[in-house]
Amino acid sequence: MSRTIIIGGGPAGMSAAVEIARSGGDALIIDSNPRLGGQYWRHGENAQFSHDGARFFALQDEIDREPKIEVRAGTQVWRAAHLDGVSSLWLNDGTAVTSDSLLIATGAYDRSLPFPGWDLPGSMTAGGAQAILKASGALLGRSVFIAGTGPFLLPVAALLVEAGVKVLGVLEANRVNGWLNHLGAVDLSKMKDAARYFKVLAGAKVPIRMGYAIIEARGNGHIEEVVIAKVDRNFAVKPGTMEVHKCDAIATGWGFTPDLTIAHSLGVSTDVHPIDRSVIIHVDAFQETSQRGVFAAGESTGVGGVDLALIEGRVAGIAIAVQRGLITTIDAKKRSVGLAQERSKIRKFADALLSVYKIREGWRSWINPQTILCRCEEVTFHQLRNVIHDLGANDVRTAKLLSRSGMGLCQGRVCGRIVADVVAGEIGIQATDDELRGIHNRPIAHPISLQTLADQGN
Amino acid sequence: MKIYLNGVEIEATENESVGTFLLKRRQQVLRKTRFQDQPRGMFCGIGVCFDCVVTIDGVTNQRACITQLRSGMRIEVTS
Repeated sequence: MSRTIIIGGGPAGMSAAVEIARSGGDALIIDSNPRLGGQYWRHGENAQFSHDGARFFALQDEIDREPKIEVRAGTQVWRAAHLDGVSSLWLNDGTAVTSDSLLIATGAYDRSLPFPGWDLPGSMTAGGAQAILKASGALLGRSVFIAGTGPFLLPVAALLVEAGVKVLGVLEANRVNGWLNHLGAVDLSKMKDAARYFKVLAGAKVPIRMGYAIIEARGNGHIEEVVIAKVDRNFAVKPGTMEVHKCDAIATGWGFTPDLTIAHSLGVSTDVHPIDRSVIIHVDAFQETSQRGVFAAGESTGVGGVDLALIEGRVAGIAIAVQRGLITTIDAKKRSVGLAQERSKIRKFADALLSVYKIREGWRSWINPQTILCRCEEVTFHQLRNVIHDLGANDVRTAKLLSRSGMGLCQGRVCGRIVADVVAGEIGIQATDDELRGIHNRPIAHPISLQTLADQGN
Repeated sequence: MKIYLNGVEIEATENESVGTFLLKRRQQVLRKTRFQDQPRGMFCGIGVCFDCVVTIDGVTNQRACITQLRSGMRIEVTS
């Protein structure tokens, strides 16, 4: 078998590359970022981490020293295909690479919910606010609200506070009792992280409000104020609880969406997660997908955080080494002691978090007829309702084709799930598994120039 | 190094994305939308949402958040 290609140089991709190299194998890491580390270890020119940098530097140093690992950073895969056991990837630098050994480690991105004004400049995703700060010290604003659901809101809030941003509040839409105990359920290090975030937030007197959400952002050309409100257990706005606050930016995050674009193009089987109904890559105990030689690790197989991604990357790397004949199964077993148990423990914890921080359907009470649902094509709730009720679109695909939602530059990465849930809600059904899978169907993963296309046609 | 923002020469540093560079200059608005002429800026910050697209060296629809600044780069924004 040939050199393993790893798509994505985050925690999962890095740990897999190291395992393959330790087995004597070669690997090529392709990443769209200019530097390794993925979203979790995103950094600028001089990597500095407030905490948890040690694991990154250990992996980075080993990859740097290892001549068998090649890194192509700042490179995007714009098309992928799998035929007769061989995966082909077309890259935006005009080249193409092929291999019968591949790892998908494409990660995840913020899941967003719409509300009036979410398209105003100054409104960012929680991950986006964190990314621009980690990468270059840029601040999304001076006084901000952070809202949504999930434990990820805490590190983002703490990071912004430490960078000098006035965080006016962290709004957690779910009512979570014993947040700290909950996070501590997996191990002591998570407990320590959470305690650190709470300490930073308490020190800056940042209010953490459970059962609250941003239901509207307003401003002339950019965010100047937000409307926040208490929401019930189903996320519906509680009448009479609205407050208006001045601020110049907001960061919202509603968990994560696994990035399945490449996986879909490679034709690997996917599952619909039973708890949050996100589409995830189906893998076996060795992290191999339904296509022989194609493995997957990290968030694209189900969101579980950095510790899970590192373990899945190791399991995949070792399994790839066995498949390539680099090591024996006996060696593999020795190097895998405890990994499967640890993986299953963290996955259980991740599922518990997903249940607690679930998105409840009452969020649809925040939107009004003029609210933009598809940001790219500027499709409003009113327009989407029209194609459903007046034009008879009674499935997600037809509603998309008639309204153009999800057909803009981002190809439904942001609005795909939103539109699916709104369509289903209007009709009074649930989106089917295949409708949810269809959201990730993007034969051209990223736009390319006609010149690149012409060059690669030869 | 020097870059050009809407034709005006300005000083810039390397190892920075177009999006974060402009944000630090308080340029939150990067474009106006096609249909409703509404302002947009960086949203996802990681190349997923395509909301921060600007014209770079004559090429339209380039994501400011993932495009690294280069000396002599010509960036066009609408605000």
